[in-house]
Amino acid sequence: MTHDYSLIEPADAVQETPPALAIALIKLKIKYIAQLGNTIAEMDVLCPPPAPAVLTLESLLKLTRIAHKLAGSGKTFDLPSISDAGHALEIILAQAIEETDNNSLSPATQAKVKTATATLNKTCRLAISNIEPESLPEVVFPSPEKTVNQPVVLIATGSDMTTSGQLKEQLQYLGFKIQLVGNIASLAKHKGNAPPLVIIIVTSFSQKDTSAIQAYLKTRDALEASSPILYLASQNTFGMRLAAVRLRGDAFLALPVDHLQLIDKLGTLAERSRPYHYHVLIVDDDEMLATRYGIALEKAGMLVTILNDPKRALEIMDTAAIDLVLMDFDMPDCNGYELASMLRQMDNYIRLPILFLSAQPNLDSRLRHAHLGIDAFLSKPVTVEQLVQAVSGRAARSSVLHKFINEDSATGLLNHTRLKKELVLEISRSTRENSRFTYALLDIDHFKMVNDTFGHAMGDVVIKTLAHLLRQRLRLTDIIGRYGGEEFGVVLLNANAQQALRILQKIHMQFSSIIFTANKQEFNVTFSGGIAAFPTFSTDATLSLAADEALYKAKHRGRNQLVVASLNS
Amino acid sequence: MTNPIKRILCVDDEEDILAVVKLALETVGGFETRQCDSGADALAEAGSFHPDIILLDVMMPQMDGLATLKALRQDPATARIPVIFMTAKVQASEVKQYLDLGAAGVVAKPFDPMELSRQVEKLWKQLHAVDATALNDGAAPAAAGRRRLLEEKV
Repeated sequence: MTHDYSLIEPADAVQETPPALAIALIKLKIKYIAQLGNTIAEMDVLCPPPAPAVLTLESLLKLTRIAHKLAGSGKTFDLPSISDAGHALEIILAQAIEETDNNSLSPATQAKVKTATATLNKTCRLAISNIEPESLPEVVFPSPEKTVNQPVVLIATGSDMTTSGQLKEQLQYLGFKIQLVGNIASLAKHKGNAPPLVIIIVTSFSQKDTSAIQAYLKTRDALEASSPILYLASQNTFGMRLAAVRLRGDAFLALPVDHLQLIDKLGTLAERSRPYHYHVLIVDDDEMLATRYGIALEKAGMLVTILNDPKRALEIMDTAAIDLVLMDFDMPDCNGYELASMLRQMDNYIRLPILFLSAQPNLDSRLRHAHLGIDAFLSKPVTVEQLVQAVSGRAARSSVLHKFINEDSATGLLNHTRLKKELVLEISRSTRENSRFTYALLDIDHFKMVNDTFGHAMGDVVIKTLAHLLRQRLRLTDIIGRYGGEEFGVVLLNANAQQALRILQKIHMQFSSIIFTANKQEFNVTFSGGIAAFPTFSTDATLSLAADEALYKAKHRGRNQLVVASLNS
Repeated sequence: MTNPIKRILCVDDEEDILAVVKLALETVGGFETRQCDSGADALAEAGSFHPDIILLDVMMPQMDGLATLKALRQDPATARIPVIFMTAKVQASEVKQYLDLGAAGVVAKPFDPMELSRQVEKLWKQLHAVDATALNDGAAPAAAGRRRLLEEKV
């Protein structure tokens, strides 16, 4: 008989869980496991391991309750083995109860009950002994085929123009999903899951095209999120450039397009529309509320750290690069005003944006706090949209400054100085949280030869391509930097050496299959890498050294490979 | 168009489950929730909280899910609130029993915290779709419409 329409089975979908929610679930899991001790004790009393006399109906019923409870909850707390064992015991108990009712509980059935109870017991004990960082959920890295939110580039073609298919192919290698939209009018009709990263319009700015573009721009006005437009014009003339500006173009290139320039421009535009991952610290003793805000901000592309105990705020700020603090004004132990005052006293945090959430937003208190340079006072209850807006606004403004200070200007990745700082920060954080990470050094092979043979502009493109690929394939929380020249440093959080190796191998394969073209010549480029894991290597000095030596080995063994550093080298 | 769900009352004797349900419904689904750890508590809260849906565990000591449902149906203030059972007992015959008693649906335990909101919303939509069907046919209360659909399937 088929399932009833109203019965919904728990689905087996694998989803990407936002970090804040994942952590909250893990905390609940640990609480659940802590209770298992009591349950185990109960089971031992009802069905003691050494042969009991006879299992009474009462004890069978009590055991059934326990088995049923565990069967119905284990998997919810990410412990499917407990659900399975509980379910198995339930079935046997049902049989035993039936037999007991008929006054004939057979020794065979009794033995089965004992075995099943012992199994359930064992799985519970295993769960308890497993609350170690090693048992945290397996890290799932996004792969391009499965990424739902792969950035899309739309190409629309004006009425008297044609678009080359080769262009589409090359761009796809870079990890963009290219969609040929057809004529300009079709742009307005395009519907996707998210606004495209960049829109390319190939046009001669004829009367017809210009009207079509204007019509399209009108439809965009209604949407908040609008993607940058790159005009590929039929000629490089003043008139065309003017038209491009008037039609709100963000970039301009003339046909025939220089392949390198196009990739370059796309890269720049793409980075511009992907916000730097603003790191927000939420300080609120209301755990549930803080989690909700955290999730909303994560969805908007920010990194979030949540703190329920304001006393730890300063310690956290010392070990993580926080860009904005969102704090509850009315906390019992230490109110927001005091915390903000403390922060303002510290040189590092004089300009740190602070947003307050308060349930009592009277004008007086706001004025009183003006001298603290509080950026904003949001009154509770604040909607999630208001919150995201308030924080993102500041994020956008601060990102320019951040870029200047922290980023390598060519690739937009972190520069050498900042990367080294991040490594130290990461060691602190991982030590504190008892977690692990992996540091990797990647070096492009024969880079000098690329420069000498094809020119520095091409070398530049190769660098930018790898930078882009790394950004695409690694996670939001991973740290990517450029060490200058052709060397990159990557910090993969919550990954051991094997996990890091796997993802870097994928990137390695992808990069080496990209076909670069220069002067009608085609060529491939590879890189070598050295990988060192924390806490196998526990200081920034030993990590750097180990990664460096592993990289050296990779080069010496013929390049185009990745080597993991081990303690005995 | 179906009105969105705003408030959900969650009833389960296990504190751990209540905590996960609250987390799942509030953070993933964005609903407002309240938790009760017994049928008696649920009867008291339902009248004042006015939930759009009640998520009800079946196996509870003292007053189990079925008894709670019956009591809810007897109070005019709570009689019309749709009830979704949460249970590991999901044999077709048992599900039929729940539906006959007037439950709107069943969510199987153990549930996936990431899926719970979606499941609740799906049941909510189906519930309103059935109501709409009943309305179009000029039939009377929603319960009758549900039963008819059940019989067709079988």
